[in-house]
Amino acid sequence: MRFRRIEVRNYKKLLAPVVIDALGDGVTIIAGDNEEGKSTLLDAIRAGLFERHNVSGKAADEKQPFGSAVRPEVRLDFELDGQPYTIEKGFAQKPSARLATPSGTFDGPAAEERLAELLGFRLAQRGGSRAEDQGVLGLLCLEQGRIIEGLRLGEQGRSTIRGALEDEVGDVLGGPRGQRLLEAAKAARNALLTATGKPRGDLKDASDQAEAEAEDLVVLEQARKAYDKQIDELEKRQRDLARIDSDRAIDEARDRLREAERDALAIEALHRDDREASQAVLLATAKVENADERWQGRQRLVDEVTTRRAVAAEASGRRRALEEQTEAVEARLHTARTTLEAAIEARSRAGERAELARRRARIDALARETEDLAARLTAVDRLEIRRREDRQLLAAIAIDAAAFGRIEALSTAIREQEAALRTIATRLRFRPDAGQAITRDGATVARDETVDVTEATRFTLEGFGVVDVEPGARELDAGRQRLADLRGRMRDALLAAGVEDVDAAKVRLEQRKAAESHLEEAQRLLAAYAPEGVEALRAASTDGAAELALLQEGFDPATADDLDHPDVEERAADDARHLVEGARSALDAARSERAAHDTEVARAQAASEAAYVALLGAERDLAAARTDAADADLAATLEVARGALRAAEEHQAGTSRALADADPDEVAGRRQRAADALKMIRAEYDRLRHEVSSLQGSLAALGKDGLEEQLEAVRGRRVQALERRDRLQADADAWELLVSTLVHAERDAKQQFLAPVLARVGPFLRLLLPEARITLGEEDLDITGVERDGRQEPYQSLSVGTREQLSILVRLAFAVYLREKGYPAAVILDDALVYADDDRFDRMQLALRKAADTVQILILTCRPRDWRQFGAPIERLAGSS
Amino acid sequence: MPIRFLHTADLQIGKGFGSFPPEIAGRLRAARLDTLKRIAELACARRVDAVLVAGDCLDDIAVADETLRRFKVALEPFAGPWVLLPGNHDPAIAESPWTRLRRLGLADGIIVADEPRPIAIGGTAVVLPAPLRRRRDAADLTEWFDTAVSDDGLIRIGLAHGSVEGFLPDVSEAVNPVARDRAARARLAYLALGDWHGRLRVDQRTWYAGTPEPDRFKDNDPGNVLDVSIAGPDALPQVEAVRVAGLHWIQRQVEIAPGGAADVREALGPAASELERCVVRLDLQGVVDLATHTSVLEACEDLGSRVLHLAVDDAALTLEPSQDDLDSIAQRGFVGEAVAALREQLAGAEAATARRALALLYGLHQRMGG
Repeated sequence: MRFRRIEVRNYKKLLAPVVIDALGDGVTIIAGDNEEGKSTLLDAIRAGLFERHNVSGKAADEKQPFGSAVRPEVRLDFELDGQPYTIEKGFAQKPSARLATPSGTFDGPAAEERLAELLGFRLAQRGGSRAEDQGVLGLLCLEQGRIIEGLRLGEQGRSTIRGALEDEVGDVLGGPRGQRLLEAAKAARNALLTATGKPRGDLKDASDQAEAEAEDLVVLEQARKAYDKQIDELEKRQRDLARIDSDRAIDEARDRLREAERDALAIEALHRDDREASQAVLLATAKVENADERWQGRQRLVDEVTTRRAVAAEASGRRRALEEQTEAVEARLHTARTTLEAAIEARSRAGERAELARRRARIDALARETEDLAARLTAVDRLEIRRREDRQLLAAIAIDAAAFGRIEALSTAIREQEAALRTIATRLRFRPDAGQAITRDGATVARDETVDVTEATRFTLEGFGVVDVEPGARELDAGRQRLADLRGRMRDALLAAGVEDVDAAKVRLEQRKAAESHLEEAQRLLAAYAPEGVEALRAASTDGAAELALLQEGFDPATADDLDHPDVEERAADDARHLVEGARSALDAARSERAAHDTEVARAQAASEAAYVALLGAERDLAAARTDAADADLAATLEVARGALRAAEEHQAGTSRALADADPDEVAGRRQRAADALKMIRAEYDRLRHEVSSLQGSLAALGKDGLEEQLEAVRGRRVQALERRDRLQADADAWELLVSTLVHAERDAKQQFLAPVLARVGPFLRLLLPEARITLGEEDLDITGVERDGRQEPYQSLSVGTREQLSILVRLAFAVYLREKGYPAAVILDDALVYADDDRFDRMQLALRKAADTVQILILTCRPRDWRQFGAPIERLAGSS
Repeated sequence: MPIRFLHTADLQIGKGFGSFPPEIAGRLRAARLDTLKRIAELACARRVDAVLVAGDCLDDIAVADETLRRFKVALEPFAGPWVLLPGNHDPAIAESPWTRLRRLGLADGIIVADEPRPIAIGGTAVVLPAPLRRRRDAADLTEWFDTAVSDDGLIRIGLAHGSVEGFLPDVSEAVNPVARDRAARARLAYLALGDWHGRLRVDQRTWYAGTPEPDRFKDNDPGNVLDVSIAGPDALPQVEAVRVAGLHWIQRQVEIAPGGAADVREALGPAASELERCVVRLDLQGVVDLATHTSVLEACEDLGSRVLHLAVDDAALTLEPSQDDLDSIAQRGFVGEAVAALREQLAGAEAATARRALALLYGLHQRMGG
């Protein structure tokens, strides 16, 4: 397909007619500035090709220039297989369509249907034409901005390309039947396996059932084992029972018991004899004990009398000895009493001396103290008088150090001011020839006296008259004034200080300082004489005098002449007190001894009397007993009883021996063993019978339902389930293999299917990315990416520029391929390659030139300069109207 | 005085047949009871003096009470005497089918020979039983026959369950042995044996009756009872095998040639008239194409619906897709490539899966209308 002429009028912004004429076979550059309508031209071409002329509504309105109601018109002249065709369409108003072909002219819808058939696109059922219906031409005629989106081939375009490919490579895909087979195989596979290859459906059911049966089998096998074990147990017990029966074990045990019981009865008779002999021994023993007791009682009475007699003699002796010691004890008591009285007397005397000594010492001390206090009081009184005088003096002196300082300062200032006045004063010295008097304000001025005149002054010169001097220095008035002020202030200060001049002020100040010094000294002395105050000093003096008077009252110093120091006297008094205490203790001891002695004597007397009474009683008892039975009778009775006991003991020894010889322990043990044995055998027999019965019952219950038959059924079911599972698993494996093989084969076939297209892309791609290989989607035929260095790079991850360039290259390849296969194809690019760098731009131009050998390419651009070196004719959009 | 009796063994009533589908197993179990009933009826019809069962009346000591009851009922047509010997499947242990049958109540004519003691039959014969008291016994339990005393003039008949030493093929003789010359040594007129499931004559006085109802695919003449007549103590027995089996167990190896689905249909040969009483196992062999494989499977399904049960083992049937198979599946497109890839795998480790995959693909293809 080759466009030869394009004419557009009243189409959107292309209000004026645009005609691009004499389009060549290869590349034509159509240049126009921005907003001049390049994209509108492409839109008009697409409308001329794909839109229904009678489209209405928005699609029709959009084609009209803004704000006007005219008839948009498009006419395209093109060649197909070297034959001329013309399509003319008018939109919106009086819409029309006409297709002129070498075989005739078609109008209206017929024209559009014929064109769609020729160019391989689909007309929209209603509304504007959609990109997916525009087929391969839609793919190749690209508006600005859509290029980088990839191919976005619609069903119509895919169908065209697939048709071309199938024409060339044949039905490698196998058509819909292959797909159906694959889908059916997948469905069969998916019925048995999940996406990850795990069992599902019947396969899972079979696996689950096999497992469930295996679990049932385990349970039943355990039950069967238990059943067999119980049978073994039953057999064992039945054997044991039979053995007890066949051994006659119970009868034998019973015989043994009977024999042991007979022996036990004989032992019992021997026991009885022995017990009676023991009783006889006991009786004889009691009789001996009775006789012996009586004999012993008589002996005790005799012994009692003897003992009492000795005791009475000893008590009497002791009483006499004690009575002899009484006089000595009494003498020791008297001595102690005398010693105590003397000590008390001595203690009294020593106490009085100590008291006197202490009183004399106190009087002496108080006398010294009172004297000292009186002297301090006298000094204090003198100091008080002096302080009063000094205070009066101070009150009379008005000046103090500060006031004197001010006066001195004023005096200095006056002197300095006077000196200053003198330096600027008019200095006069009078030297009268004849000693004439010269007075100033009445005062005489001596000859050669220097008079400093600082103000208007009148001198009277004798013999001459009056001379008025007026010093002319200007500062004199101010200096004088200052001096007058100073002097005024000096007067005031002196007056306030109560003095006439500075020297007097100094004298007064010295007087003040002396008085203040005296006062301070008096204060210090007062503090020394009366640290607690004068009043306290005075009170202490009065109290001391009073106490002294009290102590001296009735005190005769003569009585105290031989007294020692109070401490010495006090120690002597203490010693006397200690002596008293010692004497008192000795008296107490003597008294205690006396009391104890008296008690001993009384006790010895009582004991002596009691011993005598007891002796009389014992002698009375013995005499009474002998009256009852003589000592010899008692001895004879005892001897008879002892003989009877010996006979009884000999008899009992005989019975005991007989019993021991019969071995009753052995008989009792044998009897017990026999009884236990019988009991145990019977219990064992009963237990076994019970267990047999219980096991038989249990086995009957267990065996009722036929464990083995159940087991066999479950085993069978399990085997069947396993077989079914294995069969299904084999099926699943086979389906899996089949599906994966089919999927691989299909993928390979698709790659093979696309090979011719990829072969056309190859040369173009090598111009741009020599090392890369492009990949296309098997279904949508769109660009999926490029393979570089063995890595797959998705299309969307590539740069915008590369995407645009790849997109154009693949389109060129498709266009070339379709042209080669005789399909109508032409390429229109609107402002393409705007993202290309210079190098890529050059390479893309090479690709375009290469493609242009086969297909016509129209390039709409706003940068004709970029294409000047390309060597293609350049049509100006603006110059075409 | 002569005696006539039926000799049978290995009824194994209650056998589970677990490897069969449950409904078939039920049929197989019922068939054994039916056969026992037929034996009872035969005993009646032939007016025999007794029926001797040489062991394994029941399949296991742990059969259900219901099975024992049905067993009793099956015996009823013949009033007896039945002499039932415990075998290795139903030994006379402490709790056994015999103790349980006694608890359930046994008719007078039924004698459980669970003790090694002579049993008089009528006034003419004495049966010397060698019951098993455990599953396996290393001792020859028939030894006591040699010294067993019996009245002169009585016909001595031995009854035992085990393996005749040095005689049976494929049998361990370590357990339950029976001396080969026991009949002679014990002066037996006849030694009735059980345990071997086929009919077998050991010598002129010693016989295995075999199981009266086959229970496996073993072609050793099962399915009979022996009708034994003995004229006197020293007379040789007259033995007649009488067919009583209800079902036929048939195993065939079938060599399948390409296109040979008919081989399957013809495999059973003359038995075809009683197909519904046949339990069949076919072991398929040969190398077949996909088309033949499909038709063989169809033929098997067809046969399966005609017989009582059909088991097919096609492990030895090698699938070798022919060019025609492949052409018919995929003349064009990627399916053809997939078939080629699967064919390549037929020689590899996953050959079986690949073969199955090809067969499945072929089946899919056929279902989609070829």
